[in-house]
Amino acid sequence: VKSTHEGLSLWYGTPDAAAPSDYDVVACDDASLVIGAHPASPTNSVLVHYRVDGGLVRTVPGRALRTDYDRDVQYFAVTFPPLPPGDRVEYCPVLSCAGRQVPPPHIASRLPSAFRLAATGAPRTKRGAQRFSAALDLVAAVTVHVDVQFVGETAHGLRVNVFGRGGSAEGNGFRARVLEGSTDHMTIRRDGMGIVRIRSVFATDDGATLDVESGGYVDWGPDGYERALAQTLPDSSTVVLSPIVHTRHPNYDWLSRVQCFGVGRTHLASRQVTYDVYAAAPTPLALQPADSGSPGSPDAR
Amino acid sequence: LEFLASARVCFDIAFPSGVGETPDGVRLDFRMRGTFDGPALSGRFPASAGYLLVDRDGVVTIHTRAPLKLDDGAVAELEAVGRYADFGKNGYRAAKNGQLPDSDLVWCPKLLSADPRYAWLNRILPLALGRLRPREARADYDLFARSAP
Repeated sequence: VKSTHEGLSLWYGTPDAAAPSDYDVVACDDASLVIGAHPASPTNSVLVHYRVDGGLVRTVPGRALRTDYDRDVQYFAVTFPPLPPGDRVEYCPVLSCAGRQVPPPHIASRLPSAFRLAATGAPRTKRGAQRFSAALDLVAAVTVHVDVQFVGETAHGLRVNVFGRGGSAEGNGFRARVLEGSTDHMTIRRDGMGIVRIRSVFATDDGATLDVESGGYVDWGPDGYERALAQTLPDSSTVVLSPIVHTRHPNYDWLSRVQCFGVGRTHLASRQVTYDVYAAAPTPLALQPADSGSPGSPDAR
Repeated sequence: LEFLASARVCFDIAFPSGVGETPDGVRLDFRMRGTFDGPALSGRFPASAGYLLVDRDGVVTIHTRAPLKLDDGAVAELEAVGRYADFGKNGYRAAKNGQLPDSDLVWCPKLLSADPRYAWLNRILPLALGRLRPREARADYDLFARSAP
């Protein structure tokens, strides 16, 4: 939708200014839109007139979102308050500047745009409710043979280097060697948490070479700092990792696009670390409106 | 994984970006503020800033450090430097032109707190999953952790 009047232009429902249309079904606590305005001006203001099922016309103001000075364009965001139960919301955004407005009053009063509301019985999004589930696909179970080098105390914690002597990674259709020379330059904080900084290389059986880096933690326990200082770290501790993979190999391009998540344990007595690496993806929960919640005015709590 | 909280964030990506195309990728500055609610954490993000870096493959990295003001008065910090989203094969060009697509969000922020009630935050690595909607200037995600606090 685009309209121009008195030297002002306003648009919405466009690629740069998303807005619900007649075809959209929106949860009653989740209606929002973005409005584009030209020319940009600090005195521009946007007010959206709306009504539910032909009822009383109400208004909601827009808040300035951003200004594109090169294009002389300004954007406003509008978040509707929770709407009463109904089927159809008619609305019209109005841009005003120094006594001028677009669209003109006789068009604005007709509320030319509309969207539909989700059925009354549909579940409403509750604040604090979980909206996504974690889909974790196993990439590989990794075993790395390691040597540990205690460096000593620094102002930032106790430095410990873990050098990989080689290892293996096996998953569903994935087989690789962990090459010698992989490292974890770890810093153990005073609360016993080891801050992981892994850089390693995996060579797959089908010829790819994967650059793997990871942050994460090893939880050596509350007394982990003292134990590291005495070089008596516990044999088995929890490892949680956030590996990312870089490669241009076509078979593993997808791995370059995902954030992985790894969980495992140390086995210092046998000088090994084992962990499983998963590719993580969000799955919207079925009973939630697809677009759950609105950031609205987050500070207004 | 245990569900910790659900975050709703006003995520306003500035375009054209002040920095733009760099040797590291297209840098997109953003401002954000929002709320988070859930069984383990409840509070708000006051206004803060950061930037996204879109590499030549369209993969997005986030760089930010945001305070968390919890409803019970405690303060924590969210730090994120890592993979964040995927704008797709044409994502680099889209970032240059300011036509950012919606994208799934998967990232691993770090949480830190000096408050003894939230010392457990220092011992978890959360996994955040959700959806980024640049055109609506919003991001919605849920935070999970491997182990119970």
